[in-house]
Amino acid sequence: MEKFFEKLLNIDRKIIFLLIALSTSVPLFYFYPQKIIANKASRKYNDAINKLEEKTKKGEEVVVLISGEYDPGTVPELSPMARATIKKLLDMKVKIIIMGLVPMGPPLLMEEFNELLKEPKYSDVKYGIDYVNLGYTVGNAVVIKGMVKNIKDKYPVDVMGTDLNELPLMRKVKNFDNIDMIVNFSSMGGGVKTWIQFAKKTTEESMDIVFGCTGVMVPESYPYLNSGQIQGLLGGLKGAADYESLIKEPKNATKYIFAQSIAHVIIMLFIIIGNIAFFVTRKKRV
Amino acid sequence: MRKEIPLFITGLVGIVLILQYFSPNKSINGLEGIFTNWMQIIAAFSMILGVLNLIRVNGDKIYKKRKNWGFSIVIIVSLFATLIIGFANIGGKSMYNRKILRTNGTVVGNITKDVMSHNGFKVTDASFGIMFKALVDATQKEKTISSILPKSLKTGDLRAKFDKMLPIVRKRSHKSIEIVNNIGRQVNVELESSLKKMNSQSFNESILRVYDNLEKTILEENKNFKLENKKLIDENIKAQLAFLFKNIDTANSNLKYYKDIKVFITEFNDFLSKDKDLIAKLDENIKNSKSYNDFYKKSSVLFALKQNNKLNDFLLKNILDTYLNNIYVAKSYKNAKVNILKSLSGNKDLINALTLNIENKLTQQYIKDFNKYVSNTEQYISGNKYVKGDAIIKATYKPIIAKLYTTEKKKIASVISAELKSPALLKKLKVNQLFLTSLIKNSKSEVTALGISEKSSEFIMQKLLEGGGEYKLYTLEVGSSFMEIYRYIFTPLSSTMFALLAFFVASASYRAFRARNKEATLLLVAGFLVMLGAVPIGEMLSIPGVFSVAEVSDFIMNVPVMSVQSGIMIGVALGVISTSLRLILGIERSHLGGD
Repeated sequence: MEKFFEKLLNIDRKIIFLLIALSTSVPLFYFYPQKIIANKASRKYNDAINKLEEKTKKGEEVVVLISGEYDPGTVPELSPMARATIKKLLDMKVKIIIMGLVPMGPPLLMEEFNELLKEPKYSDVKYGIDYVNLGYTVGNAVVIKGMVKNIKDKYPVDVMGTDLNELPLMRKVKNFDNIDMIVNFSSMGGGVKTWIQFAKKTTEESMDIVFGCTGVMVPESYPYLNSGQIQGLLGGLKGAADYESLIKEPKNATKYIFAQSIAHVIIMLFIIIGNIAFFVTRKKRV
Repeated sequence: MRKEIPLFITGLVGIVLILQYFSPNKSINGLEGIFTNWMQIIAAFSMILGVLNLIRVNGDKIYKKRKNWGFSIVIIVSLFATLIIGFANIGGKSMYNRKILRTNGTVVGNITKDVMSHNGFKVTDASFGIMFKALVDATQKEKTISSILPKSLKTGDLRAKFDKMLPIVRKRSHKSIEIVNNIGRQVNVELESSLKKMNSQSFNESILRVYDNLEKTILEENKNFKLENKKLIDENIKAQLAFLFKNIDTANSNLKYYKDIKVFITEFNDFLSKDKDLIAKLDENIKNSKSYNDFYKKSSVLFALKQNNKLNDFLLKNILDTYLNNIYVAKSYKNAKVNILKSLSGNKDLINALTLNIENKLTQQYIKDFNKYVSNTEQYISGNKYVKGDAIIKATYKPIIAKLYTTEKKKIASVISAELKSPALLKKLKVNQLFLTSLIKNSKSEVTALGISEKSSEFIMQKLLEGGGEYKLYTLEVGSSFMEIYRYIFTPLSSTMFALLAFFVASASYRAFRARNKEATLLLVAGFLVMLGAVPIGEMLSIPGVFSVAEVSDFIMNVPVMSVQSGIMIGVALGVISTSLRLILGIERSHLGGD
């Protein structure tokens, strides 16, 4: 028996790799719907977005800036939440400004955006009036800092080189004072911290910031949520699935989370087996 | 000095950036703006340095044939391939067309689609010229605008508005052009809306008066006011105004600039379609002619295509069949048409142009280009979704296509421009799609396709590929090699790299996540619960009302994790502050390569 556990302890990692590969890929083809209970952070995110609806219902124009700071590697986690958020904002007739502090961010956001625009109900959504893509510009914190005073200082033209003054939406938006919310999707180190540091005012009338991040970034983002510096947080694929369930639009995140569930179970089983094997063989080793 | 200068710069920039948070002083804020711009430029340069460094390190590796030097070759080749393809924009649109695409992606002002507001816009534009002149004069002579503008010029309350703006202009005279431009935009909107509010009679009268005054003022008072092709624009405006004034004869006489165009077709807009007099007059003219052809042949004809009228089928077909080589079909003026004409300016051989479903607005520049290039094009056909009744279009498109490609006088270059947005719209525009498909299939010559939107680019490209033959495609989103590298090489590679993490995490947790002691056991249990909480399956292990994995996970994240993270963050922040201060004050010099 001990020999078996010893073998188990030194199991070839290729077997682990194979099981992980199967656990992440097979569930994608055999979807099993799960009951998703949104966590507190996701519910706050949803509440913050819904708060904008009160304004739009009054006929006020609401402008949301979405900053994409992620690359293709984290698309499965971040794109579903970006898609769900953009969809909700479009449904609420909110004006959207897309930008990014990493080169791949805006194109990835626009991929989701363009997919949504194919839906007939969004055929009226017009570039320049309802949404604008500012694209990427180099400088990270410096860009945000500059935008606080005047967005056109840092983005004189949009992604296609159009003067912002020619875009009706951007004529109304001078700086962050004219923006109701910043939605940041990030997989990068600085994350939402840079936005809080430079864009957020300490006064109450400051715009809301909500944050969508990868799973590994969740622990470091919680302090900002609890301190009220961000108004909502979607953490990883679970956060995306939470939000999809909250807005009743189950899509990719709801589908992928099943694969993630299986993968987590497999990893946990490995940990349990590893620990059992560890205890069984410990006496021998001692 | 090698160290002193960088130290001085660091200190200065650091102090200014700190001070601007505490002081509203303009010079400090100005300096801060300059410094942050510099930072951005330096950040951009660092990217170039990164590229150079990549070449240096990998070049050295290849030269010395160090271990895995083959991979370095792949890196260098990939780098240059991407750079060259990106800069050369292979498969993408040319810079010229980038401009066109950009223009089409822009909505210039709130100019409505109908002819009336179109005219309003042009009059506004001209009035803006006068206003601009008056504004400049008033700024120089310290007068009010009301006293400078001719009294006969009816401008509503715009004078008062301009007068209000005058002090601002005077105050910031160095920026007067920018300000005047902004005012111009406001004026456009104001004038346009005021024009809309008028009934046809008062519109008729006032617009004539305004126009007459404008013309005089432009010619007499404002000799320096540059209007390229002014004469043509004037004729154009007159013709259209005459049309609006229900005077077809006047319109015809003013159609001089349509040298090669014998038939001018426009569609009734909502305003005009309600105008029973005009419809009656048209009907009368038609009745009095021996035949429809006779009616069209008599002279240049301004013909209004009536909506929901059965005559349309017959009329349009007749017109197209008779005057196919010399026809201009227009809905209302769309800048896309002008853009196409603009894009054709370098192609003197062009004889066919087609535009579909363009919904864009017009600016003065487009009018100029339109007038400039339209006479170079023998056939210029426009179909759009506003033309009611698919049957008409179906019936007429076929002969158009047939004739378009049987002409062998010149090298045929066809320009296709289409804006096909959503799938829903595509269904509606099925007829146009059919036309486009058929056109491409029948094309025996070079086709230059200009996709305005991504959707239309996709569609055109798809049809071009199906149809075969030579073609040029100008678009960024589809067909650009750079975007394909991004989509099909970079994205999967990057995703693969990140996905590998899952395998290593699984393998590492199996080997390292052991309950060796109390601390490790605590970590193991917490990690276990958070992992379970991060997936919905964890809820299956919960006991309702007693124990919820999600709640425990939430608690772990909200209380212990948050407290520890806060502590770490505060520590890091203090460290950043002290290090920054050391850098600013020149105490920390290790980054300069010394003590």
